Amino acid sequence: MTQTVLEIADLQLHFFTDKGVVKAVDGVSLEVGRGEVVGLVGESGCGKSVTSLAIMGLIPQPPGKVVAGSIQFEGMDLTKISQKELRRIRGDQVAMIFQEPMTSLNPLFTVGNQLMEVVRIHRKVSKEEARKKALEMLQQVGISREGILDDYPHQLSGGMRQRVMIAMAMMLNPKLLIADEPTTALDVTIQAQILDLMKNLNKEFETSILFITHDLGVVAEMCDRIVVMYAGQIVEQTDRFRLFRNPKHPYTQGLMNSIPKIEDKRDRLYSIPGQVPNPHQMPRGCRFAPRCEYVMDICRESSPDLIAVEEGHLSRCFLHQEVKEVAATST
Amino acid sequence: MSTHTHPVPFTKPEPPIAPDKEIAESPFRDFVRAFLRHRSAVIGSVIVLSFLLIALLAPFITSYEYTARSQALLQAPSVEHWFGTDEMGRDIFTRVIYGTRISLWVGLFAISGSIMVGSLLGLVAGFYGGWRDTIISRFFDILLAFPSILLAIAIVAMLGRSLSNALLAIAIINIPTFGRLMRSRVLSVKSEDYILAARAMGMKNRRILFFHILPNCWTPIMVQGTLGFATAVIEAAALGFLGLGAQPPEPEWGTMLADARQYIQLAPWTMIFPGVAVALTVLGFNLLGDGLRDIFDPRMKQ
Repeated sequence: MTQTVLEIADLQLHFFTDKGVVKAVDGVSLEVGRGEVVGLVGESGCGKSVTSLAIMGLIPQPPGKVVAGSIQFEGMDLTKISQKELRRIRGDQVAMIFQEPMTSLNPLFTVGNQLMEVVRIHRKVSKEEARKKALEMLQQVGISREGILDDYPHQLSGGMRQRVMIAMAMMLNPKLLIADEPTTALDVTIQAQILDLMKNLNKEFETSILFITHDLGVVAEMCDRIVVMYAGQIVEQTDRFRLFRNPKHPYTQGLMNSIPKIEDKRDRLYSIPGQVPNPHQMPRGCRFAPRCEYVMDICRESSPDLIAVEEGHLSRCFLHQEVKEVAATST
Repeated sequence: MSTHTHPVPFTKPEPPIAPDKEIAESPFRDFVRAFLRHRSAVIGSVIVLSFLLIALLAPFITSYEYTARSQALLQAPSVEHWFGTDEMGRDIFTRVIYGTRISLWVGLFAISGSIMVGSLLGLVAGFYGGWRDTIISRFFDILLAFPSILLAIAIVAMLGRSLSNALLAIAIINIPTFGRLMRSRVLSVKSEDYILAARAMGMKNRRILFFHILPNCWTPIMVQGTLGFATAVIEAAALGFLGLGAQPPEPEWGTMLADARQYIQLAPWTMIFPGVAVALTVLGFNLLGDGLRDIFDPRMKQ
């Protein structure tokens, strides 16, 4: 890692609702380096999408509020700067693509119109230049048919629309691309194409990607480093080789076990028992304790810290501490 | 005609499939086709268009002036006076035809006025929410708390009786209909993914509001506008009937009905023809509005 593009430090984002405060993001710290692809993995409702929206400054306020922490991007704290400055960064230096390509394009405007609009909001360029740029970018994402600029979104398939969305996000060559489950809504074959495309763009333009997904298969294919979130907290963070070979946190291990393997001959697929805790009533100790198969007394009492199990491998579990302590006492 | 030099094939060749496009059909052509297939929309638009033509071509359709009096008072329909004459000897056919102008005029201006004001208020209320929404929505509630015609009467009574004041009153009482419709539409469009995407592209609120949300809200407003047109025509006639709208000798349908009231038994045609004109106009706009609503309803799409 040469240079950090994005650095989130101890981000606390709360939603103030009538039922009480929901700590949607609770002390998340992560870094994305230049040209790096970082995966943010977790179940629905674990706070991964909220984190990404917080980076974009798109959390509705109220009820949402960044209570503490910072989001450093290129020397600016995105939680502190004004809406106006934030707007200048959005779509230009940080771009985002969404889960649903079917509904992420405005149905009333042509593809060309929408692509050109992005350029013309941020740069002073003529219509012809913007049009040229749009065509170039569409070629980059693998659409070479010129007539597409005059097509309406409803005339395109889901895969095509996601390509258009990616082109739109890449129009101004952003330093960071946030992809919020960009392939979840697509067919498997199209998924592979889109992932390939994103990998190529990542190489060619050195765009860093924060890849949000719940699909471990996608993560294995795409990401250099992986951050696993559970109930608003990071539970494990390491590079992809170590995560898949040697997952440390019981939750990550559970996720790995939930992937069906073809050589396995069992009647029922494995799933982690229990449910994600209700955000209004978080467990007192470790948030994963009620579902954890290795749960100890201490887990129900206090919350473990995110500690380095080894160089570049963080995990939030008392098991490691104990192992360490045992190791420390034995030597 | 070209001559075939090769044998005619037994089956028609399949039309080439347009590459990369699932639907090679423009939205407008789609709309026209659905429109022509919808019977009441077609009937409604024929009625509306006829009234529009009548209004435009009024001087060419009839050779009388709408204030011109003849010696024949309260004369039954005849070759000379197709719809008969009224108590002052004026040709009723001519007056009904010129009355079309007034009714369409009132409908057009009153409804465009309420659409403009109502949409703007609804847009602000729905998009910004908070105190703006509270104030605007309560304002709509207050307007809706009165029976609309009563409110119109009150407004005209305050401003003085004239056609333009009646028009203004009709515009005001119809504001909440469009305002509420717009507000609810904005609330749903606002949470669409493409609006979030537009924000993520760094667009300003105002740009999102007017270039991305507003155009996606027009359809129900258009349908309601067509239906509202019918209401406006009735309301104009009602105010005219009460003597609060167009003043004599303007050939307003409601005013004509009011004048004819005394002669119902003696000369029913003085009442029938303006009445039928009102009913037909309203019917036309209602059919058209219902048709448009069906056509724009995505559930009705095949």
